[in-house]
Amino acid sequence: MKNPIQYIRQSLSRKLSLWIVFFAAVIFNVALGFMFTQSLRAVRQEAISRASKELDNTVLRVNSIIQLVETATDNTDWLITRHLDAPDSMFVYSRRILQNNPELNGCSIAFEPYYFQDKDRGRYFSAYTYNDNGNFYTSQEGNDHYEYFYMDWYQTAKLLDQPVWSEPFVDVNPEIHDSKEIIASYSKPIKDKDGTYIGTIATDISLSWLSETISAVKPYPNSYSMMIGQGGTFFVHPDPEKLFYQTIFTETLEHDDPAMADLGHAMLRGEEGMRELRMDGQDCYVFYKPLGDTGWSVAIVCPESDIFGGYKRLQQMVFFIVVIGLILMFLVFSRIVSYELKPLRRLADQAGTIAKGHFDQKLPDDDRSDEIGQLTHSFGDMQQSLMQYIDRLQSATAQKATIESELKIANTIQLNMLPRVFPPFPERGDIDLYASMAPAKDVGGDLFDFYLRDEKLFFCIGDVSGKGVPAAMVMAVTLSLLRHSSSHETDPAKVIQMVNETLCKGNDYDMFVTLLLGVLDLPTGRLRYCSAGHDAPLILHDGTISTLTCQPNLPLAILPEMRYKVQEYKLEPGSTLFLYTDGLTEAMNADHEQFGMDRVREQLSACMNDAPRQILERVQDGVHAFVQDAEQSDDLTMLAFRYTPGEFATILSEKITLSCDLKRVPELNAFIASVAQKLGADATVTGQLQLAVEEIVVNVMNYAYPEGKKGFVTIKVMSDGHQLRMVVIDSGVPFDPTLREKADTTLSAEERPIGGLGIFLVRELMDTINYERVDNRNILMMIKTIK
Amino acid sequence: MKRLFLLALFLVTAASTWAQERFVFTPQWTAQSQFAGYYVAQEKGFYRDAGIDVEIVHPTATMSAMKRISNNESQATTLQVCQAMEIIDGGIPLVNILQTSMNNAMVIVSRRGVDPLTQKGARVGIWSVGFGQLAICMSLKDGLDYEWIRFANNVNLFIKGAIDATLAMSYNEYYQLVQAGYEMNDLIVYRFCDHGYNVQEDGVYMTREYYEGHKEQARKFADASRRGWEWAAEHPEETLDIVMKYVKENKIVTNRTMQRLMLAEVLRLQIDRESGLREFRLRPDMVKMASDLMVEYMMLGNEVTYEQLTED
Amino acid sequence: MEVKITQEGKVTTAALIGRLDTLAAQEIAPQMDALKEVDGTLVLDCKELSYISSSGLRIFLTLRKAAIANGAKIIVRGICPDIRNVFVMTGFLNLFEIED
Repeated sequence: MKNPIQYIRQSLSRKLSLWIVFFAAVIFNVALGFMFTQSLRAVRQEAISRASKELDNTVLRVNSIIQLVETATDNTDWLITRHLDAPDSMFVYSRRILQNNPELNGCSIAFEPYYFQDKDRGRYFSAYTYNDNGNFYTSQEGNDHYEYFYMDWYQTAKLLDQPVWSEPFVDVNPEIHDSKEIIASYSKPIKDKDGTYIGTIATDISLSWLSETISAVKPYPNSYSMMIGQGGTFFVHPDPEKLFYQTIFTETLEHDDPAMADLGHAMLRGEEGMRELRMDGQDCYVFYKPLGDTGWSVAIVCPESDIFGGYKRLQQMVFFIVVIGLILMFLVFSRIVSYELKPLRRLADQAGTIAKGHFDQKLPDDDRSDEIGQLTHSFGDMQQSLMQYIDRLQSATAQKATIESELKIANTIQLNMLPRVFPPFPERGDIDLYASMAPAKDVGGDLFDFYLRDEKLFFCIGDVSGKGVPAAMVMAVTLSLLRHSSSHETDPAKVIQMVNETLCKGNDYDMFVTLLLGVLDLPTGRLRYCSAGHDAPLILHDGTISTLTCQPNLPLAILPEMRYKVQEYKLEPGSTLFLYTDGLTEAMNADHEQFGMDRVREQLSACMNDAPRQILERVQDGVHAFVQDAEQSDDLTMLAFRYTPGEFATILSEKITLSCDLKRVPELNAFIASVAQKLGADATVTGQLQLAVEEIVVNVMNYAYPEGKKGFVTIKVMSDGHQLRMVVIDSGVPFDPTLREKADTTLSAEERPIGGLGIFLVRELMDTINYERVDNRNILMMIKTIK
Repeated sequence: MKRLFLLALFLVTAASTWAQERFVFTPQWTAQSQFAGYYVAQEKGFYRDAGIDVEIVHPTATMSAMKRISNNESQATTLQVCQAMEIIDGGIPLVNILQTSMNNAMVIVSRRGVDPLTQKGARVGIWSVGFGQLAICMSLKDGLDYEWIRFANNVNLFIKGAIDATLAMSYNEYYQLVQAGYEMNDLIVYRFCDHGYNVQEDGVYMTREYYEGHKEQARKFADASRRGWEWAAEHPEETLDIVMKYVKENKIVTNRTMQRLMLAEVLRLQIDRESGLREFRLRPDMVKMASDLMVEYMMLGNEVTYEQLTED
Repeated sequence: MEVKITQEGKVTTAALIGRLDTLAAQEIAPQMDALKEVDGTLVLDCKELSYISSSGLRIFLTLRKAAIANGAKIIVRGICPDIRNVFVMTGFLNLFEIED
């Protein structure tokens, strides 16, 4: 069996119809409820007035007859008083009353015991006439078995000293089996001229007419009337069991019924009114009223079901019609709504099919123009769009996969462009460098680079704005531009300027690059650097962290005319320079809190004397601990190197200054030879030294000074026993021979240029050469290990 | 036509040829629960079992129970102790063969809502047939100077307001008044039994003359009747059915409720206050008290002793 | 620095004696220029040559270029190990026919 609620919920038409029916039912209920309440009041009022009227009429009718009896008796009264001297006349009077009033049953004119003793009458004298179907029989009534003066009808008038109706009583005719007639007597005291009570005149009347009159009162089919005497006895009642045998209180003695007892008392008190109570197992309205001065009370009992019977039937009928109507309404509405929603249901089915992935499901053709039609059309359009979209999506997904794999390759390439071998200069004791880049999820634009040329460390760190492939491209371009530009230029500002110009030319994407480029002269610790809007590096030295002052230059690729200036700093031995990109300071945790400079310093201060690699790892760990599970949003690039130049303990230092004249060359060679001798060098080494120095010095002599200007060149030779340093100093135009392009020794004789061999030979002969221009002097140092 | 009051009934003439063998019992009043024990004994065959042929004949307006005894039409009747004393004092020796009542049932009910003892000179209803000896004694003794109004057989005078108070039997008129809507309370109801007049009432009597010749029969009747009462006490509802049968046969205007109340009260009155038992015996002390009172207030010429009332 | 030029048939031998430094190169330049005209075989005898600077090498290269133009042949003979080393460094070893 289905759950009915579920059954209704499953169908929109059932739900809709149920709501309509529900509201219709509410409206009907309210309207009909109001109507029924009002009509109930009206019916009740009508019933009360109707029953009261009937009761009034009845009482009026009964009273008229009672009045008749009373009048007849009253009219005879004076005759008796006047003829007390003639006892026998009493028989005449009693007979005459009956004759004049045929509705009367009997009449007694009874006297006190022995009243007519002086008229030779005995203890009993009661003139009695009764009417037996129109035949009047008159007799003397009293005897030893019937002492009338003890009878109620006699005594009540006497004791109360006023006319009085007796309690009705049953008169049984011994001759007629089972006959039973209810009689009531109207008794009136007889008084003599002195006002002394002498007897009672009583007229009897059968109450059968009264019963008939009262019983006939039947305002409703099941209503009935009753009359009770002064003792509560039923003298009129439809129930023969109760009639005469019971009083209105009898049943209350065995079954407590205060309402009934109250009614009884009210009726006995002679009150008039209406009560609602339960009688004989049904709710009844009882209207009651006393009957003149008799002490009797008449009541009409109207069962509520009778009064409201028609009303109830109407109510049931209306209820029936409403229920049937509502059910029909429900069925009809369900049908209509169901019919109207049929396309919708079909649509729902097909939509379900489509939802399972069958996009080519054909939609129902519908030329309806209502909302459902519109829905169908819209749904069809949606289906079309969906199909197209899915097609596009599929190709896009494929494309994306391709792009992603290409991106991955690009990323790898990008990373491969960066120096990867650490430690990079294992043979050198004066420089320990480490760099790391933690790329973000996407291909990023961070870059770093470093290399040694001669005795110079070139290093840079940079950050291309934005992410993704464009950034990566710009990064790659920047990196190669840097390499290229720095290959024959040692001034970082110039390198940056060149790179900037080139980048600006091709920058259609409004991207820019922050960059810091530095060149550290290793023998002297002289650091020349230029920052293009990049974060200033930190210097760790002697237990303190300081910031390398950087001019606020524009980043690269913004303004081609931008002139960058070089800055200088003397890097103390034992210092560590720490470079980074903003991926470090701006690393974010899940609460969008940045790692910040303070945390960077905090990390660094704890590892100041560690090797660069340890420093970087420590900072990296600090960032990880801070960021935790939050996704890395930017590349994190760091570069650090520690500068520890060895002490050069000079054991030999020779110097010669020559004017710039080629004639002095032999002098130079002699000088070198003498030094070489002091160092114990053999001929070959001496030759090599002579050749190298000669090549440089000749170069200076030939080109350092303008034509006609006399210049000098100084040659210093120093040695600590292991290494030989030869420095050529001149004050000529700036000239860095190290930047001369290397001679190509593989070319054929025809192709080879005549010049350019000198500096080549120097490089070949010496371990390293190093150029510096300091204080407008060109200083070229050549270094060779001699032992 | 005859004007008859409520107890008017057919007289079942028992002019039988086998009168000697038959035992006619006439209760003092019309058919009602007051005589339930006899109806039970008859209906349940206790009389037949005892070997006596009993016929119950109720009195009529023209033929009272005592008259039937005098005429030898009935062999036994019920009387109150005081009545029996009056009759014996009047010259008809009677023998009490069975005493049923152990308590006095008479009450005075006031109509005015006051203690009857405060109503000096009041009109008080009394049975015209001659119960109420004790009430007259009391009235005299307490100087109440009641005006006694004799009523026939119902409470109509009271209801109509013609009298201030009425004598009533606690099992009969008392309940008639209750049925008429009167609400009873201790103030308006004076119970003789509670004021030193607890004299036994109903018992079964026969003339001493008859008794002398039919002692065995008398004893059998008394025993069977007693058995009837004892059965009635144990089976009140069935007893009520039997009573209602007699009520209907005799066309008594009453109802089952009334008879149920009456039966309960009559059975209650049969239990001796001191012993708590249905003793079925005359109490000499009560006889003596009643006799003394009645002699004092000149209702008896001479004392009637316990021995005079009882067998042998 | 001294240069001795001898002619034996088609073979012209120029013996380079001493150190060929920059100054010496300047001094011998006129002599050496004359050798550019050689169209047979030019033997540069370096047995006595102890030192050579890049200026000297430049003279060697000039001669070589001229020889190629003239269709002449140059043989460098008897270079000492130090100079040979310089030749190796500068790639001259491949440019010249070297004889011991």
